[in-house]
Amino acid sequence: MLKKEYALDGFKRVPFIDPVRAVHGVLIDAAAPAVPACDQRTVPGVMSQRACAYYGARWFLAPLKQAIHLVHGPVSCAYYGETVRKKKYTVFSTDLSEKEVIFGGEAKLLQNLLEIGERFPDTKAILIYVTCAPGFTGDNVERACRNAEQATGIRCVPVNCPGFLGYHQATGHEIGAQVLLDHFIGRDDKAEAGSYDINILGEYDVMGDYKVIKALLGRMGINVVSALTADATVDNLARAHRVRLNVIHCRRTGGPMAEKMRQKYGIPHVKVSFFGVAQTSTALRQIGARLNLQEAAERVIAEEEAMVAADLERYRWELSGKRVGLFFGGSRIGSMQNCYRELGIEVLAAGSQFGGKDDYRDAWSTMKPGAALVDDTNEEEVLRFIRQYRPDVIAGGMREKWIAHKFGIPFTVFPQESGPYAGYFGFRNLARDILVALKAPVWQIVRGESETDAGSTS
Amino acid sequence: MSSNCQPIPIEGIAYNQLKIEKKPIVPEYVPRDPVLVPKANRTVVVNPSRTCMPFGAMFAGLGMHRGLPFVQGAQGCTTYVRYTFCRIFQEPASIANASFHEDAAVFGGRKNFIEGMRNLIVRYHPDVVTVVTTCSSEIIGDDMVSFIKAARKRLIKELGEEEGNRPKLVLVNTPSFAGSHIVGYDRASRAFLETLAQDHSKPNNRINILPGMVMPGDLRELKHMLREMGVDAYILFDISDVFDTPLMPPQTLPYYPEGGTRVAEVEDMGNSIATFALCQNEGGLGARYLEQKFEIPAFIGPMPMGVKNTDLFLKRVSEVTGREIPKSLKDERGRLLDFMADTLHHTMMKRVAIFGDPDIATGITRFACELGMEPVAVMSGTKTKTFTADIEGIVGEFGFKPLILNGSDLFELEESLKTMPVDVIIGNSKGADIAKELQVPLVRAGLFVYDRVGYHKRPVIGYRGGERLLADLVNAIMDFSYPEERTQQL
Amino acid sequence: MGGPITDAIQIVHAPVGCAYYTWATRRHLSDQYAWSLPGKLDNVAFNRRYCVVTDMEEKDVVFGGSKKLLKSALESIKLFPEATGVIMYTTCTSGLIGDDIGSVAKQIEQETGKLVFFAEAPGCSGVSQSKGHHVANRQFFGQINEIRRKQPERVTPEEERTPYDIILVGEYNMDWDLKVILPLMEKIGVRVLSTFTGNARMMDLVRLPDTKLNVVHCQRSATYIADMIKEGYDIPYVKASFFGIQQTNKALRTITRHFGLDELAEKVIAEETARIQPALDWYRERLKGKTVAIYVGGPRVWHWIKLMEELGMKVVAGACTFAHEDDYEKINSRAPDGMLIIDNPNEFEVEELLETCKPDIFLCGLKEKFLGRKMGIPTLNSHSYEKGPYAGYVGFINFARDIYQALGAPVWSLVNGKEE
Repeated sequence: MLKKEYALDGFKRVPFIDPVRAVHGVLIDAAAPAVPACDQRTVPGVMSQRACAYYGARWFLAPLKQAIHLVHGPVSCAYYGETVRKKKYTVFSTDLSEKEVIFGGEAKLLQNLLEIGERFPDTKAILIYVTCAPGFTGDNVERACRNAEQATGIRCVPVNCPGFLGYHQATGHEIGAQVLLDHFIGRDDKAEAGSYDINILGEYDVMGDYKVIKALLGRMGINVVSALTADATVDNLARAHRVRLNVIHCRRTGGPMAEKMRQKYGIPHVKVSFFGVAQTSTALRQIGARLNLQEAAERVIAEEEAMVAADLERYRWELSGKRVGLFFGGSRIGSMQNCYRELGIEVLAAGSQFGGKDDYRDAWSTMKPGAALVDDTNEEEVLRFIRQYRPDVIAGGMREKWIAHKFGIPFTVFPQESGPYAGYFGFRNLARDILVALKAPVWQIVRGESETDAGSTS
Repeated sequence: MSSNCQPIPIEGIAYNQLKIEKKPIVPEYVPRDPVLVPKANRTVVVNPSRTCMPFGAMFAGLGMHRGLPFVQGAQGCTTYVRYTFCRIFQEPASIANASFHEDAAVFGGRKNFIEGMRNLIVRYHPDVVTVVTTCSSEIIGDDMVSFIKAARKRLIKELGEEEGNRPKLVLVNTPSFAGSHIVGYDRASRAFLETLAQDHSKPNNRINILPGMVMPGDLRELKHMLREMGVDAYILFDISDVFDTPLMPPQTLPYYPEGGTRVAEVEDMGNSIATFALCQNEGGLGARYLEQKFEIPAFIGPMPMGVKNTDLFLKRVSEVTGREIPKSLKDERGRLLDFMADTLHHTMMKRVAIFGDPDIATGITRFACELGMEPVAVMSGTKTKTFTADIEGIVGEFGFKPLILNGSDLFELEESLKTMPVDVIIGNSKGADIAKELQVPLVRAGLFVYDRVGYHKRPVIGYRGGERLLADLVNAIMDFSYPEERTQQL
Repeated sequence: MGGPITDAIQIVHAPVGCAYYTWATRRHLSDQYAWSLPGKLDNVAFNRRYCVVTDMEEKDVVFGGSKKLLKSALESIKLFPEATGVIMYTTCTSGLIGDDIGSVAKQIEQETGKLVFFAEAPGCSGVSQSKGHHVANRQFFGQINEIRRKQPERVTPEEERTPYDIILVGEYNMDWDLKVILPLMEKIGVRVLSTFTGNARMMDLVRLPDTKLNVVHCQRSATYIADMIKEGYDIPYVKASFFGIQQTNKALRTITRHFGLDELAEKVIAEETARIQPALDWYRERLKGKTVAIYVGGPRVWHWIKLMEELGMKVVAGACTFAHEDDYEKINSRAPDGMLIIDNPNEFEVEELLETCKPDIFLCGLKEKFLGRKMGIPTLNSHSYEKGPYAGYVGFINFARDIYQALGAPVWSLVNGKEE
């Protein structure tokens, strides 16, 4: 353990942060812009909310269709990897046992690939996720893939994502993105870009988010060639290098990829957010400007804003003045804060598991002085945050939900469970879910208890 | 018989293999006359949600240890009720009958009664017989008080003073045209206390509980709560070990379940420090009787369902007995709250229709409101003086305005729900058709649940009963409303 | 008895309870459905979907309930215009206060033109439900005659009749027994005009006397009407049982003999028995030598004895709730030596019966089912079936399966006291 605290030059210490991690948090102070230390190794034993590279790779690649996803490792990694963003996908596993760990699993992997080739001849590609065990034993996955490819004619692509790589799941996202760039995007030379063809990078269609976005863009006359990876298929990725514009939704997973596509294919990109009315309108305007569809954008914006205005007014009236703590995965911390602010909710603290410098800079600029910005928030810090700030509601992942409840704090979960949050009507869903969590009578009963004594009535 | 691994060659024919073709009764849809839909606008009752008064008295009579109801009426009056108990509890229900035939209708039921009572007691040696009157005996004007005296005389003559006097006979007047099963049970609670609880001289520092027509699981939960508090209580009528008994042959003959309230316990109920009637319409009469007669304070309703109602019950018990509410019960409360918090996204703003007997419907309504659900329609099958006001009071706290049907029938409820969509219905098995028609889940709760196994074994009252009901509710909603592609998880 | 009729509004003139218990509890099934919404049929057939009751209250008892009955009936016809007519039942209450249901029926008929039947069967009349069957038979028959006299257009026209018409009398379509029986009838070349009263329409009642032969299935509850039709219309009837192989064989032969279609019967019998033989053998092997006690409503004891023999089981005791003398004579003639027979046993006697005979399985109704189990004896609801149909050849295999399942459940070897 570190005996002395980090020097706190240039920024004020976040009150609820663990002393050994002090540099991972900043209190917003306009006079001293600073971002928390990020993309660093996790302090062991602090109950971090981070996951592994394999998790990140699954997160990114799971929706890819026309491909079979084979997890090379003991069966349990495949078991957990079946469910991504609460949606179930079919995965295959090589089911490595002790024998293969000792004598090497390459033969078994090859056998698996040949079997898949035989039973699923229509499949267009096989993704082989390399997990910790084969990562350590050093199976020559590339060679197995080459051999299998020759025998079956099906593209076999290794995804080298053993869990110990990197500091967090974002490593897996990058690996996944690189796999798509190297093996899938741009395979179809004959493809031509239509005037309004775009890709969306970093969009995963949580509870129909992508369907909402696609519909909005469709009304402007825009055609989405591929949304990565919400509706990515081997076929549409092959054409994905022939578009006018790459729209980045999640910066952490889509940003680097867009940049590489710009360098390689000269495709310009723009970072937008489809969360919240203001941001969605801005997004449509920006995209419209790039594609020369300004008028269409304004028309859609006017129609949609008018439709949700009355509802949002009501939600704003109910929610304004509430205080929230936001704990997300990566780059949502900036854009989501705008949503909450749009509803009149004050953001007390924002944290992310694996945000990058850009994400934090983004978040910093939207936050109010005195609010806290924290990297890799762990469970204990969330609890201390609750104790010190008594927020009205918290938003974050499933793991913090139940513990927040124990302290009597309502919670809204991301990725969401009830319906799309993107776009205009999605924003209404978000507002509704926050209100539902806040207004549940159980919290009144709970508060009644803390005021008097258990079992008494008020 | 040993187990057999060989496949059975032919399975007979299963029901779904019969391929029943549905034939429309008329070619076109016929809308129901909207004028006649509200019960208030018509005389006829379609799909009632209540049954006959003797049912309640028989329910009570079976809740006595070695207790047998004796029905002064036609055989159907017993058979139907026994069928109903069998269906609900999957347990035997022993009820005797005076076997009225034409002669009884003409000459009165005196002969049948005395004869029947004698035969019953000689064969079964019960501790207490609940004499239940019916429509017929009330209409032909059987003078049951004098019949009972005569029967007693006959018993003493045949069995001697001691044995002839031993079985208690408790008369409950239950002409079905004057009220529903609720009233029958209510009257039985009063009749038993009036007849048996005469003593008020030896304070026993116990409380009386009149639970109403609840399930064995509810009574076990009630006993659990009282045990945790260290409170001694008499429960009238305790059907927990009558309608949920072990399979442990050989049995003694005649078959009596081990449970039931003992006569001595009822006799001592006049010495208790307070009476709690959990249901104001099922047992309230008995509680009020003890209050008037012996000035034993009566706490009548509400049924301890959900958080606040259970809080109130425990608080009152605690105040009356001076026993503190122990940590174990506070923990149970906390666990229920935790469960409510964890499931609130599934319950909040869900539109619900609730029907059943008045007290359980009221209890469920409060719990549903506590869960953030919006009651759209609340119906009691039996009309009571307070039902509408009770429900209005509850929903008023939460700002809802449901359709309140006090003493209506399921036909009106169904037709109303066709115009007011709901997400879930809470009620007894008679709502199954409605739920199927409206394609919403039906969460079973109440007295007449005969199409689900094990319903009666688990509680709906108390904190743990709340957990059970909430689990049933959320699981039912999830089974109906989840998108197919998504993994079902919380 | 009227319950299985599919297209009638069945009004119980009584306090609510009497109707509540009869609502959707028995499994006499039907295929006629009302509309729930435009284009969507109800989930439950019309005869079990609605429970209509006049809900007699104190004032009706004091001042008479005829007016309430009339008003209720007219309202129900308005609410359910799809129904062909009304069947009204009186109970103790309405019977004792003497409501004149007949004149109410006339009035409804005049005002609406609908078919109206009624049964005055107060609970306190007769010694058992059998009385109700008898009453309903007689009254329905009287009303049928009257309708046929007044409205001759409702009688089946000559050109619609065939020489091979039969009616199944006393078949109530428990768990769709009819689905098993009707194909058999078709194969032996007879036409089933209708049934009395399983899945029957009201018009079928009116046309009861338009058959060539009545086949009486439940001989306790429906022989009355067959007798009356024989007397009034000179239409013969035969008794037949469709339970068990031998009895079904016999039934088919009896019916075909009447029409001179014997060859067809033999062909059907050969086909069907061959089809079920493997299954029958399988069950027989496992049920052989088991002892059984039977307690059901009426003549089924008599039917069941034969069935048990076919399964290699031995009947050690039998009891009926409402059998008459002739039933017992039949039972006696069929009963194996040493079989105990009791009329209308009470619960105490049932317990004693089980205690003394110690049968391996107890076939009974719902009320006794749970009592038997408490004594560690497997029971089977043979009255309204566990998983029917039980009639005919495949139905018999269903029955055998349910018996085997009841007997073979591992729970019985776990129950203490039975352990050896």
